[in-house]
Amino acid sequence: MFKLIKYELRSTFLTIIGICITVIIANLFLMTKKAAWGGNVLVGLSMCLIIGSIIVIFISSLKIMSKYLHGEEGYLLFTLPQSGMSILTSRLITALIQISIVFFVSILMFNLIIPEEIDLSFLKDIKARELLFSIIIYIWSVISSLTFIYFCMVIGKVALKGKKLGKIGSFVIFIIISLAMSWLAFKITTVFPQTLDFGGSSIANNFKTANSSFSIYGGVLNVNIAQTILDIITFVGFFTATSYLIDKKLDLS
Amino acid sequence: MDNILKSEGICKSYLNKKALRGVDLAIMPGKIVGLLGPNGSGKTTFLKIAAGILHESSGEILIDGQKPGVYTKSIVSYLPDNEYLLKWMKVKDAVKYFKDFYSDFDEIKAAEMLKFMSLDENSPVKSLSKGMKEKLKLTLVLSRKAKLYILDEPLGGVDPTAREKILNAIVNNFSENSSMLITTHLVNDIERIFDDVAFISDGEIVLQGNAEELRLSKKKSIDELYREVFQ
Repeated sequence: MFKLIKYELRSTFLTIIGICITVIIANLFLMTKKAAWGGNVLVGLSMCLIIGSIIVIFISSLKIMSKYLHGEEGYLLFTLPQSGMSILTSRLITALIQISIVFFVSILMFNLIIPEEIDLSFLKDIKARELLFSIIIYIWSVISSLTFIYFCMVIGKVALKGKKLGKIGSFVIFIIISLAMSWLAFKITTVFPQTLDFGGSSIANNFKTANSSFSIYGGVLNVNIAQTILDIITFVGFFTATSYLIDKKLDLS
Repeated sequence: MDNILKSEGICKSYLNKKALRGVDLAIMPGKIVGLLGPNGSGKTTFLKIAAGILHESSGEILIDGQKPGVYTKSIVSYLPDNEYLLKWMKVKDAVKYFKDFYSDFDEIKAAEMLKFMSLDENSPVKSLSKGMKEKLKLTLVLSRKAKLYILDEPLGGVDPTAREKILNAIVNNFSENSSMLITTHLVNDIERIFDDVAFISDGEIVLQGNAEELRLSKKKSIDELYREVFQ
């Protein structure tokens, strides 16, 4: 599996470097306009760069999977003596590494754009527990969302054999499942609003977390218990189903 | 001796088309088998099923006694009829890739074959001509000590000189402990290496047997027989 990760990273090396260099150059350009445009505009544009670069690298991760499923590269990958689970896990880890590199560079440049001199004193204020919680949420968000999208891509390919039909089908499946899951999450958090506060390690009723199972506000680290369980179950379901489909049902065209 | 490949009643259907209609085929160890048929006859579909990248609609295929999966992929060396090597690779990267993933890959043999094929290991894969790419793919596939080699149109799109070189590479690097399944419609070029042949038409095996026995019984070369069957 680690060999797969190594080759996947090598395949996308230039893309990652390209995005990072673009982000750095764009932020350096913004720094030269600090006097003319003002701090707020710079912050806004730098945030746009963060969002833009993450969207680009995220889409790049999806395109790689799409190439494996619909393109000739799949013949190399899927004839390797590797299980569907190994292939999927390596794809997820690679995507996480790629996105993290771009995210780190973007955030770093964002933090450097405003102050007159580099000030890293804010690091002292970060609490270990909040940092750990944020990292877990970040990793979970990337892995779970990619697993869900990969599932939609693979099931679209399995159910609809044609290249175009498969891609459109995957998108339709993605929309339908997304809507169904949002509805289910809303219902569950309404019925079971209890949250777990990692800040104080206590369970409390909290009616403000209907849209997300995780939240950090006012220094309190809350997770909605019911929705978190649902998220974990759906993640395991999507991961297992995708691995199974790759092993037993996927037909390359 | 057990068959290295055994298929029984393999059918493959797409939405409105039947690509295979009950293919029965058995390959004994040490044999080179030609699966011969015109375009669209189902040759590639059958090979993909054996390689584990396509799944049969019905029937059963066993490679070394097991259904296609991780194990069979470790003992099958498959040459697809497309450009599946990654675009960023140089020849040496492709060799390294195979070495990393296949425990039966023989790096020394690969180096010898690269030399035999006049391939520079520093050449980028995307800069190679079609014939050179075919030679590289064949080098990678034949450098494995696999139990079963599956070659899909190994002579497709290459000039006659390159064909001869590729055929020599196949013959020289074939081990008696292995088996080989080759599809082609360039029968005349390749028939000399076949032990057994199977003619496939419209997803069905219409004639199969030992190549020499067929030549004697029909008093025709396999190429002439092919033309007669698919006229």
